[in-house]
Amino acid sequence: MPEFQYAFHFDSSACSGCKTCQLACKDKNNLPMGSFWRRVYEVSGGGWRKDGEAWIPDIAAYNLSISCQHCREAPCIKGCPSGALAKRADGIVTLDKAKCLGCRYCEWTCPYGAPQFDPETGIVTKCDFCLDLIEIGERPACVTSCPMRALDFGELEELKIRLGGVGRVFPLPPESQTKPALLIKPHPSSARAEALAAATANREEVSR
Amino acid sequence: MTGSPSSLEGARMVRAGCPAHNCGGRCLLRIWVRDNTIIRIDTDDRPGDSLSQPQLRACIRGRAYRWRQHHKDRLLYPLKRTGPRGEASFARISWNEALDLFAAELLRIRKTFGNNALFVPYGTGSYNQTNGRWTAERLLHLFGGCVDYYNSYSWACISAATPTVYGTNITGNDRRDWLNSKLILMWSWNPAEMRDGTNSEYYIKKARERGTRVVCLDPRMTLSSVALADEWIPIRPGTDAAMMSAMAYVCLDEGLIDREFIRTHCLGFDETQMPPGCEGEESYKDYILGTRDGLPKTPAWAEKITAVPRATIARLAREYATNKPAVLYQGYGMQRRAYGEQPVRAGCVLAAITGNVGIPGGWAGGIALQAPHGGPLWTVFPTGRNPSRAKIPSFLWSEAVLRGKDMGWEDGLRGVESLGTDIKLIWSVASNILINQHANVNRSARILRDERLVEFLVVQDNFLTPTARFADLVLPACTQFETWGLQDGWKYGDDILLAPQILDPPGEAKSDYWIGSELARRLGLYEAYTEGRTEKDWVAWGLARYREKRYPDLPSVEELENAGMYAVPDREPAVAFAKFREDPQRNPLPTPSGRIEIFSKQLHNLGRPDEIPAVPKYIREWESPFGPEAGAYPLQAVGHHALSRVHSTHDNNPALAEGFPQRVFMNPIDAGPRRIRDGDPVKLWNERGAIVVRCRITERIMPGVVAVPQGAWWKPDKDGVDQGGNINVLTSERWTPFALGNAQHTIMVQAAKVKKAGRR
Repeated sequence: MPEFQYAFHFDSSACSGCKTCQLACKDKNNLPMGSFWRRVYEVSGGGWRKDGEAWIPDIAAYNLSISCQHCREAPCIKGCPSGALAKRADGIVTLDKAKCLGCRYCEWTCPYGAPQFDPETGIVTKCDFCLDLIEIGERPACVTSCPMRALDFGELEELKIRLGGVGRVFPLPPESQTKPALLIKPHPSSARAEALAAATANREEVSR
Repeated sequence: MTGSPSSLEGARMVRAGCPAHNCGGRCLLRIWVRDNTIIRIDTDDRPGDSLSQPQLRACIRGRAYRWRQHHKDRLLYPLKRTGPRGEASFARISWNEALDLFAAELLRIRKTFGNNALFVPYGTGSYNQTNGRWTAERLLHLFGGCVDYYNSYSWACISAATPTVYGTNITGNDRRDWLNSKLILMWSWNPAEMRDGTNSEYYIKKARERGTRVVCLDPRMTLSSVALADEWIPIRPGTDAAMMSAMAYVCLDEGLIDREFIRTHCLGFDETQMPPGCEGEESYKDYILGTRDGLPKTPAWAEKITAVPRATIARLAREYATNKPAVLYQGYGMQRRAYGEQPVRAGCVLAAITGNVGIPGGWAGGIALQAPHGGPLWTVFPTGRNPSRAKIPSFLWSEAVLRGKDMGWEDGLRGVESLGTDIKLIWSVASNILINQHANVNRSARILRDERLVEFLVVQDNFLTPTARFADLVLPACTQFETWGLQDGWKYGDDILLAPQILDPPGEAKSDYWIGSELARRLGLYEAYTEGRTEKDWVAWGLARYREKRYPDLPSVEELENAGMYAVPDREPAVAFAKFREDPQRNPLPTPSGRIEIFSKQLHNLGRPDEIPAVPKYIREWESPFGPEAGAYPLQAVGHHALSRVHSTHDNNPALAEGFPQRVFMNPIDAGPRRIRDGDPVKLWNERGAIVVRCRITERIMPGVVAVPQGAWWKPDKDGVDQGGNINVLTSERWTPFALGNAQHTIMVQAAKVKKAGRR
């Protein structure tokens, strides 16, 4: 495990779901329609009851802005038969397009939906943490785009100290599964999401 | 290869204002251009990003701009109609032909019908100085005049009703003052989706970090509600004034009103302070307690109307009255309704009777243009004096087409006693109002198809919009990246943004100013129109006006070209009505009484108490779940602002359609009995028409209400059923009683699943 690990911090409590990060990523990385290196999932659930003439909601609703988690135990790397996926010393998981066979094993092994298969080119692409930007001292496109200032990045342990956060919010997979390099400040309503049978409500907006 | 960051090699970066299409934001873009093509757009990168100088971060629409700018459907050549109106059969013609034809028609119509037969409709598709409809208005004013309009499709009721209470529309404290509030009620206010000022949502976030509690009232659990509010209270559309009245009842009943402030600063609260000549009339207290109508406006009364539990209404009233200073922010959705004047006045009155006016952290309510000077300077490009002086309400243009000759004071005609003609020539610049954005699309289409009514229709735009499809002459216009512009911060007036020309236009597209100038040349008005100035000269001219009026240190165009913007220097957050609060005798309001007019004698004198009461009242809407119309059409439908577009601009942007596809949002309780499932194509209809749009089943909208984001382009199939999901097919052209504004959110519809539909 590398000692230095780049990670994202995401404030779900302040995220409106405006998808500016998702689009900023698409623009900066030249992604075609249908390809999403960053995805803003709307999680919602719950219901309504009528009390006399009044309608009373009991709803959990929040957003999760998710890219590649650059996991410390990345299943995509293990699952890649061509060795196209690798973890750098700074923790960033990269994909070498020249080596990619387009077999899509990584897509199946990633529980976060990060690898994006492009039917036009027949290969997979994914978030590279805006390496080109951080190498010149700038910040990833998603981070600088957020109108709510809900995204940040840095070294994982340093981020933990600076901003805190948890590694998992419903309905993301258990943290232990892949050890994602992500810290989340949960939205208050996420505590009740599972009990309210919440689910991703906008799948069509974040996948092909 | 896609999926690789674009190389910026050989590209130049330009800082520029995001093209203004009348969203509420005014943001800064950094645009990389190579070979006359935008290859990347990001946003304000000024260091610091502090509360006093926050970055102006663009939203998804600004970031997605290159897909609009380089769209394959851009209009490239002038087009002349060859088939029946509205069928979009056109032939390419030269600019000379186009301009000669247009000039000849202007002269013919003026000669036959007079200047009042000419009209440039409302429209905000392009919005910075020499871009947009102002260029056309300037020319027609020089040409002897035309019919102008007043008010807007956005703010008709709130801009007309606010002054009936306060005598002015400058009722807002500086946004940074929200950090001094203990409680903010976001009432029908959704800054995260409409961007009600760049950074409004960020200021609310900062206020919450300091402990401000935020409650959102809206039939939709909006993006703002999720990100900004501690509590969401769903309220039935069109019933806001009922809830406000019940909150006033609780304040009155439990002694939570600010009696001293009411005594010293207000008028018409109770029988002790009625204006002269109105001593025996119904005071606000009379209305709330039901002294005259026998109907106390209790929370139990309001629960039946609003669907908000009575206990919630009472609790919110107590919270608002006892957590001073507090903000009751009135958004604009609730005033684009049948009696949209009432919730505006009722909200102002709640602020007044709880003493939240004129104090830091408080909020007077109403339209809330910013103290001290009212916010932005807007468009300073001079349209000149209109020799005709005729003005109509912006929403009543179709009345002026159908019966302009007969319009009078009661129809909102101002400046002249009679138009003397109907409107015969329409020059629509950067506007999709005529077909797409006005109410009742099928009606508008019928009117425009009749060539005996409007005899010549010119549409000047970037794309063949639904309105352009009805044109006799289509003129291809530049985008704001292809011309020079200048803008200041929408309603809140922060920061000044330069919009330099960064691209050459495609094909034969020309700027609005060029079109105006060349037409002026044919009418012998070139010198008068241009005053010898280029677009860039007019931007410099505009900067000089801004400098004279407010910002003496504003730099030159050349200096602004580097930064893209001028940040207004830090200042103390202003508080509206602070001086009035301090000494109402010495600093009276510009109302007839000098006080906050809870009872308006001006409204009383109109003599229409059922529709324009002197004190704010809940009035059942003309289409409502409580009327007989609910039998056939049981669902209320609202057309909210969404991030997929700015009004109808960007509707064809694939990157936005992907992130926010056009859907009807429906509660499972309404979808279930109709056997509608998530993703199904659904037909929505009423007596005015029908649309088909796919369904998103969501708990985030209250039962009995459906929402269809406004602005989708009208795409009628062969049966006239709109496959584009344009809610204006269903909206009503009826206008509000006092403001004569649009009431497009007041409609009832029915919904059913359909088997076939065009997928958007």
